Amino acid sequence: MNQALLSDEHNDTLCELFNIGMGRAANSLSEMVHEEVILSVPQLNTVKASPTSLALSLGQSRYLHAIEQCFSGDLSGQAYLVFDDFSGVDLVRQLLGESAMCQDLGELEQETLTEVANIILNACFCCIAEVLECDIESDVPLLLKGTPNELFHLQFSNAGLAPYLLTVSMTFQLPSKSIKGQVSILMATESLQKLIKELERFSLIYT
Amino acid sequence: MSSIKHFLIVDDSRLTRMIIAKIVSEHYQQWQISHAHDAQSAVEMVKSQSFDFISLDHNMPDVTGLTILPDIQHHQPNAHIGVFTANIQRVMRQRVASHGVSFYPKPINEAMVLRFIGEAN
Repeated sequence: MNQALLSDEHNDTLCELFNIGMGRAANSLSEMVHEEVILSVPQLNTVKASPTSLALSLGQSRYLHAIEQCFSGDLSGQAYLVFDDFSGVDLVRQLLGESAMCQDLGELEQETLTEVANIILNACFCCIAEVLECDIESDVPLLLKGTPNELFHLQFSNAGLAPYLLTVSMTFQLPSKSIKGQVSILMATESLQKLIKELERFSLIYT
Repeated sequence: MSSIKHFLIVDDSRLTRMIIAKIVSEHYQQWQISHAHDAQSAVEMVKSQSFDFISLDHNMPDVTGLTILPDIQHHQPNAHIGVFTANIQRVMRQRVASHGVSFYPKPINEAMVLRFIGEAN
């Protein structure tokens, strides 16, 4: 059930939903930093989730700031907004108007980064819920810090039965800084099948 | 608007192309609808065919919509063009306006497409 789990049509629809969600999030972010946010074209990848695949999906980063937000309702799972290396720190400094003197985050900075993630991930949830006409509730976001292996060995135990990892690689960059983020979603097989069912129902409207 | 028109949809998302095509064909059964899934094929199409309406996505894998917009305007001076994009930032709206074309924020709905068509009157 690996790559074939999502058809090209499912893939296309999900990418477009994330594109719209991230577009909304980028608009909010742009207003916060008073700068244009450059978005890449989203690319979706689905793999059977394991601590290794979770870590691999994050690329070569040595150290991460990831914000985890669990969601439930018609669809459920765990969403992560992941900043590679020190992108998260740079983004917070930009938002708070401070120079990057150190590479660790204080309490205010952690809250700021968590709120940014809340805006971005909820923009994606809202877009999926709105277009697919389903209910998605999100929990309070939680900031995680560490190496990819440290982070996701911890999180994997909560992922449910036979989980899959949807990795939406969509970078957002500020022209003045190289800030990159990525959204990853961990869903149990049962929940992913619900998502596929919703995507198919939606596609029928336009075929 | 009873005469037959030619509508070009430029978008890398198959979903978006399907949504726009369905809305247009439901309201204007006789119209011809063409699809371009990337910027390069869109440019080739506008060089060889004539269009009355062009919906243009911005964020595409090869080249952005705004990059090819001057080319499209050059080859299709009489076409009514709208940029349909998920990038809803103010700077993007301003760039679109500076080209003299309309801006439509995704997700696309029926009212939006009909408003775009109605603007040409």
